[in-house]
Amino acid sequence: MQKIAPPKSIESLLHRAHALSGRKLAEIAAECRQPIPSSQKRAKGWIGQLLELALGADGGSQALHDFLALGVELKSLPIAENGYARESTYVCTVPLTDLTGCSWSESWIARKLHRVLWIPVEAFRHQSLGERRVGQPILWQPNSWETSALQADWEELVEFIALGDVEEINGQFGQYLQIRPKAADAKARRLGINVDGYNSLTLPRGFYLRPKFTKQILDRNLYFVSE
Amino acid sequence: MTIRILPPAIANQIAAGEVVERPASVIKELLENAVDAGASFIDILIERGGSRLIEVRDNGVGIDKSDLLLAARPHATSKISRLEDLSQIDSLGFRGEALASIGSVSRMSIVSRTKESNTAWKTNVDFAGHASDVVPAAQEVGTTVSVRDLFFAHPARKKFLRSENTEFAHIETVVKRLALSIPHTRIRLKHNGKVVLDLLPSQSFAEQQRRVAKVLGGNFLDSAKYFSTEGDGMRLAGWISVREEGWPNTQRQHFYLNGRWIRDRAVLHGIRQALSNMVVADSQPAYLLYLELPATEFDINVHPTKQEVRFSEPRLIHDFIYSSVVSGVTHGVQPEIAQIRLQQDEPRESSHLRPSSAFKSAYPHSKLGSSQVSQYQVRQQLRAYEVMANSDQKQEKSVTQVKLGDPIAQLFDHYLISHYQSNWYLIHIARARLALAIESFNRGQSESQPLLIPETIQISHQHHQAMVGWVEHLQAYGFSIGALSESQWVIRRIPIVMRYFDGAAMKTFIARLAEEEQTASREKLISVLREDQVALCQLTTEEKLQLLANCQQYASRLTKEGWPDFIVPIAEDWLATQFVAS
Repeated sequence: MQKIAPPKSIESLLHRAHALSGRKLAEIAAECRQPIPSSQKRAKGWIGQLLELALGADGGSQALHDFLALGVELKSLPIAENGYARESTYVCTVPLTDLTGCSWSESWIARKLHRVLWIPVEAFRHQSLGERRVGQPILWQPNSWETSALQADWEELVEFIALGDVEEINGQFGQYLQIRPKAADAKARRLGINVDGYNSLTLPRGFYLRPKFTKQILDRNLYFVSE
Repeated sequence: MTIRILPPAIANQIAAGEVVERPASVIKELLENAVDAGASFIDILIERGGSRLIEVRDNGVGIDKSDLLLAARPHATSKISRLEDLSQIDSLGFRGEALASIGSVSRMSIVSRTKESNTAWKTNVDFAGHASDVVPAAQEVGTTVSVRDLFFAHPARKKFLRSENTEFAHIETVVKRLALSIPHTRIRLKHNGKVVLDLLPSQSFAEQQRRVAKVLGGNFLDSAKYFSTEGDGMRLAGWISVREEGWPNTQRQHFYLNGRWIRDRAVLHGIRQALSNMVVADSQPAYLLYLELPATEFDINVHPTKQEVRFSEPRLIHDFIYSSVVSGVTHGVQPEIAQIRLQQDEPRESSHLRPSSAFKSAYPHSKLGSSQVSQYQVRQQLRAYEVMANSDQKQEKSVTQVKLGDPIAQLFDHYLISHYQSNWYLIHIARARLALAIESFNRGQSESQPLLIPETIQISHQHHQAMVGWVEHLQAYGFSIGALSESQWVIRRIPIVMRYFDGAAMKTFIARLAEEEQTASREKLISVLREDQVALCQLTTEEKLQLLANCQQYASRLTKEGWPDFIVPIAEDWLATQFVAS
């Protein structure tokens, strides 16, 4: 099939997203002529790519937003049996240098999260990948509470990095926002600042939203019907 | 083992262990007192590395006769009087431990004269911190504290003292550190009768440079750039060495926070990072920098020796230092400009201790409030504002006539007990939900919520038309259903008042409507709703609170008609009748 053109307006994006809701991944994959991966391991990336394809995302991996013209970021949320996201949600890589004077509002992560189209996707244990259904989309902008909660975490985490303590950070830091190593390859290295203020190599890291944060977004917008 | 309250003498000696480690710690405390007294000349006499004599003479305000007796008592201090003052310390000493601690491990005497008094007064302090009777003495206005035979009664401590030269070197370091923070004060240091250091007050930038060269060495000054930056309510100024090979040790690292010499990781990291492209990696930086900050933005009461601080926003400080140093070493500041800067800040009181006058007028009492709005201030204000806004919201919510209070327990799955002040209520959960749903349908409210995953149901072919007839009706009440095919339907949204439905109940409810022979109507909808058996389960606290809030609103609308049929107030006399005496 030919590539779907990017949506012209937010309304048209929402319209497309609504049309996907309630449908199984297998149906959507068939329409987009995408094979379903046999391994569940690859599922995470595949679901995101399938949704991008079906909705006409044009941003690519390096861009600020998945829908460039609309300034909208697309995030799929795998939903577990308890209505929570099954895992924390990756947002973007953590800048390890050039943090001087960077404030929350200017940060890459705040701009990424400025407007997000959340698409929940079932991820129940008994389901096969194709059987999973797509949920209803949520077009989300952080409210003042969410902004200040994320900002507080960000400031705490970035302080560690800026003061050269990046190695001290583990997944336990941050109420809603966490930093975790993000490397498909454990040997990958990025430039960072060490305790002495000099540049040194360290693992690339990503910002992740904890499930309890995404759960609040879901709860405010959608009703999770238990089986 | 018995637990005892320590006699004051021993308590003081323990405290002294923290404060008085060696002669240099005595000097530090005495110098800080002299600076806080506003001295313009501080004369220091040391004999035998401080083990024989440490004497600090200042020409500050002096201590009057009645206060002299108190001066050496533990926790006697003129610098703070209330707990709140701790958050705004702008004097060097404040803990009120110094004199008592020193007195407890030496033979100490204090001679002092205020300008109101026509004679000086003298007291000797014994090791328990008791001052002897005050006797007249001869001296100009100011204070002289003499500490003789340090640790004379503490051979264990005395053993830890190093050679005379080493101890004096420590003293010299302390004196130099302080001297760099009070450029307008003359400081003279004598060891065994010989003048080792004599720093004249500096009035101009050139004089100040000379003083810096005298203390830190000419080669430091030759390799250093002077700069001064201001922003976000902070000011950083001073000299930093840009020598490529760096320095072998940390001796030339002087950082002053509002006049107080400190050592801080964030500060050092910011400086090193700024120099990282310029200076070789395994060397030490050399700098003499002065940072001015509102006193509310840091906490120095971390350690008795007060070299450590805690910043409320370390990264902000770090980044400010980093970018100031980067721009400082790149551009520097012409000495002429630096000189003008220095003079603008005049006249100063006794020292650099207080934030500069320009700074002070912008931030009276160190409260943020300048007309020049900084990012930092905005952030602080926003936070305060958010707290305010949130508390307003809470107040608004609670304004209703009926109060059901807080949920206490759920009984037999079906009932909720709530309690407000002395009133207790039983609430029938299923009936309450039904009543709330019906009321909202009757009022034509259609607030609805989409389902996370839309539910699909099978409707047999024969009921398809009936279902079509319901679509619009249901829409008005907050449902959204649609046909996917002749037999398959999808539920996308349900009214918020029906969020207690589980998947099965919702499907049954919609299927039951389709099976009705009569045409769609509100009455029909309600009657099916009444029949519907929804499984009850333990509610979460949030669900209980939400239900109580809804019931409360509902009941408030009915107050004239009495309680609705799903709320039973529990009366005390009724309860009493349940316990008939046997």
